[in-house]
Formats: sequence, C-alpha cells, structure tokens
Amino acid sequence: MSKFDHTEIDDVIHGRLRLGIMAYLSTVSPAPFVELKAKVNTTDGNLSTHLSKLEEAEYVSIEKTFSGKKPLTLVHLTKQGRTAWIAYLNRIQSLLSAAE
Amino acid sequence: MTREELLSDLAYARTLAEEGRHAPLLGGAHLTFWGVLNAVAFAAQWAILEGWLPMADGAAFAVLWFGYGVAAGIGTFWLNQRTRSKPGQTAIGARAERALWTGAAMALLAIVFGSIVRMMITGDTTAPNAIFGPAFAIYGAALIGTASLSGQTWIKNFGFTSVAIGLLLCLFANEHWAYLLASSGSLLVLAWPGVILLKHEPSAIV
Repeated sequence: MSKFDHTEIDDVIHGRLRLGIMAYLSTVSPAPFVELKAKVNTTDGNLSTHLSKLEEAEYVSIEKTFSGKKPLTLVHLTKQGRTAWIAYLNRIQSLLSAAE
Repeated sequence: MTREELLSDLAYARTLAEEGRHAPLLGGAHLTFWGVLNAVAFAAQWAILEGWLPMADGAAFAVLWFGYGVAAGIGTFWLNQRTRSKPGQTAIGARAERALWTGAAMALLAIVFGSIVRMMITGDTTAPNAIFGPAFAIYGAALIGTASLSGQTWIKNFGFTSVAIGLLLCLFANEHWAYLLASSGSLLVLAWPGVILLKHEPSAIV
C-alpha cells in the first residue's frame, strides 16, 4: 500500500466527519443543524465540536434564528470555506495522481 | 494514511455532496395547488362562455376571477408557511426551482396585468384570451429549467408538453374549447408532476 504525505492535506477539513460536513455544505448551504446532523449521522455534541473547529478556521459560520417560534440553527459554508474545499479537493486529486 | 483510506473518505464525501445535489424538490404542493386551481378556473371560464352558468357574463367573470385571486393569495401564503419547515430548502435544485418559478410568476403577472388593462382601455373582451398560451409556454420554460438544474430530468417531459399546449393555445386562443384544453393541460403539466414531487418530499425538520 502506498503512503501519502498527509501534511499537505488541510487538517481542518480532513477528519471524516468534517469532510462530510464540508461535502454536504458544498451543495446545501445554509443547512439546518438538525438536517446536517441527520446527514452525517452523528450526535449533537459531536457535530457541535467539529463545527466549532470549522468555524474557528472561518470555513463555516453559524446563524441562530427562529422559524416561527422554534429556534433554528443554520450552518453556512463561507467563501473561505468554499475556497478551502476546492483547494482540498485539488490537493487530494494531485496526491492521488502522483501516487499512480 | 493509505490510498485506500483516502479513496474511502472521498467516496463518503461524494455521497453526501450528491445527496445535496439531488435533494428532493419542494415545489410539489405549489404545483398541485396551481394545477388544480387553474383547472377549475379554466373549466368555469369555458362554462360561462358556453352560457352554462345562470349569471350575466360580466358578473360571472368577475366572481370567477375575484374568487381565483382570493384562493390564489390564501393558498400561496399557506403553502409558503408549509414549505418553510421542510429540509433541503437551500439545496441547489430547490433554490433553482424557487428562482425559476419566482421569475415565471413575475412574467405571468406582467402578461395578466397587460391583457386586463388592454381590455379595460380598448373594450376588447377577447384580450384576456392572450394570457393562457404564453402562460403555458412560461410553465414549460420553468419546468425544463427546474429539471436541468435539479437533475430530475423526468420533469422535462412535462415541460415540453406544456410548451406544446402553449403553442396550441396561442393558435386557438379565441375558441371556447381552448379553455377546456387549458383546464386539462393544467392538471397534466402542473398537478401531475406536483403530486409526484409531493410523494418524494421529505418530512418536516423536528
């Protein structure tokens, strides 16, 4: 099995759960927190932890609002987040090409 | 990290991205509502033109289209409230659907308003007959656009059918039976795909 130089990969994105969050947000943004939780199949706490890391890197932004009288948390993919996502995919693609 | 692990992660990411890309459309209830409402209104218009309703033409048309406007307003308000609670509203397909139908509604309003004002100014009572042909062409454009952008290509067939009905209605705009064609056309190209979309609509976010 070939090894990769994983230091070249954006660690903020490359956790399996964060990868899933970024992938989903790349086509659905903003996504309600509960919808995102269902899609990546995790718990409230775990999703919050990973979203905090992405938020610290300014890849996502969290908006707290109301839908009628119900509180609604929306997760937005930011411009920096989309740029980082595309850069991440390009990096992965070139790593895979180099390994072939 | 191995190549296999990386490929597995990418496959997972791809699955999630595609779920968003192909998220169910949320306009099924709107399409069904407008399809049925238009079908009833066009059929009633035909019945009035054929003299089947016991009111003077002018009063019957006024009651019909005033009732249509009230039902349309209440229905649209209620459907908008209902759709707000659905997941996937910001998926690409749903956003495209909303943008296309908003544009279509504005185009339709311009045609309706222009035709009615022309009737009032010129006294030409056939002026509103010019509404439904372009309306079906616009429905067709919105359906075809929605199909392309959402990846739900089966909707295209309804779009092409709508454009064909629009062509026929432009050709035979002043025939009374054209309203029956418009009535059945509304059920065919709006209500039918609307019901199909409703069946695939996700449940509300809890």
